[in-house]
Amino acid sequence: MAAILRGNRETIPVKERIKRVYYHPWVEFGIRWVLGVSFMFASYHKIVDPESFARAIYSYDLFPEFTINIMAAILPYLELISGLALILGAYYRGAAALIGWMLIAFIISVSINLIRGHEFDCGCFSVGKSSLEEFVELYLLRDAMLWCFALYVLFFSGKRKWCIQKIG
Amino acid sequence: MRRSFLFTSDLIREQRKRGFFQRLAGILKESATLLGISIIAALVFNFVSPKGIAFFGPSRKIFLSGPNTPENREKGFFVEITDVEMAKRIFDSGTVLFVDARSDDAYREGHIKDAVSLPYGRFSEAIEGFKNRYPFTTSIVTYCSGISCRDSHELGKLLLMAGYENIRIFIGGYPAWEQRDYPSEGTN
Repeated sequence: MAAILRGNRETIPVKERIKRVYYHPWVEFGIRWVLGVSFMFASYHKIVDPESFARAIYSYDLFPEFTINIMAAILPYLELISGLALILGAYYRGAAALIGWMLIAFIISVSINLIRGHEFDCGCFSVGKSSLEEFVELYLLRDAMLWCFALYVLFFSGKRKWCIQKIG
Repeated sequence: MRRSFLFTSDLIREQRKRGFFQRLAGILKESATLLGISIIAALVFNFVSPKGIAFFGPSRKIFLSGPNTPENREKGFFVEITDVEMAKRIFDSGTVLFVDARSDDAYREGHIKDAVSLPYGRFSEAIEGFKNRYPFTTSIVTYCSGISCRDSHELGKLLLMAGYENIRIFIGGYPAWEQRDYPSEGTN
């Protein structure tokens, strides 16, 4: 048995192995859940305390004042609903696309403030912490990774596990 | 023969193109549905929640603010000074005590002229001395390091609970004051 496995392993090219992992239903499931749970978790404190989140958006110093409250009110629910859609496996492509856009917006906003050396409150997973207290570069790295996850879920063409919606 | 080959490849290309646009339309439709659900959820929960915020208007409207009536003071609402020039006029009147809610270091570096330091983080140890020096009837304006900082509001709440009646929050804080080159003191 071991010999067969070893033999198989030797005959399967690396490219094929990567392809197998990429198209594995459980890999897609894991990544979809990681993304979904992250966004649901991230939305929690913003829903509980929208005022602080509005303040965090304000501190980015990028958006016109009249848009801040509406963003602070809607974005947390967009995160929650998108995260839930990914976990349930319903409208997951739409959810992945929305999450992808949100992450791009966030990466651009953080980068602009990083370049101009502006102190701001990230407001990602908790509000009320200044960016100087933590590593902003880590936020960017984490979000770049989540963005790759979102693209993977969006463009995945194999079989998906545990999805309410069976198309796609 | 050549014609039919061309025709087939065109057909495949056309089908692929149609498939791409169909998928794109599907993704857009799903995104729009999720966005719609989120907006409805936000509207409903924001309306129901006691922590809900005003949808439109500048962000400062969401902060605890309102007319300086006894009822609002009881609810913990403050009058906010949103305009730096207004803060300057209040400063010029000379009847108001400016209270700096920032840390001791920030205060030492620079503060509004004649402002008193009462760091929010050291409120419990500093309040007794403060009470001995300033009666409850003192008109107070608290400030910190700008609109994104909440210490001036938190300090306002604590002062209100301590017994002070007339509290206003200057939300522009020291950065806005310093930018206008209004009277300041400090090492910087």
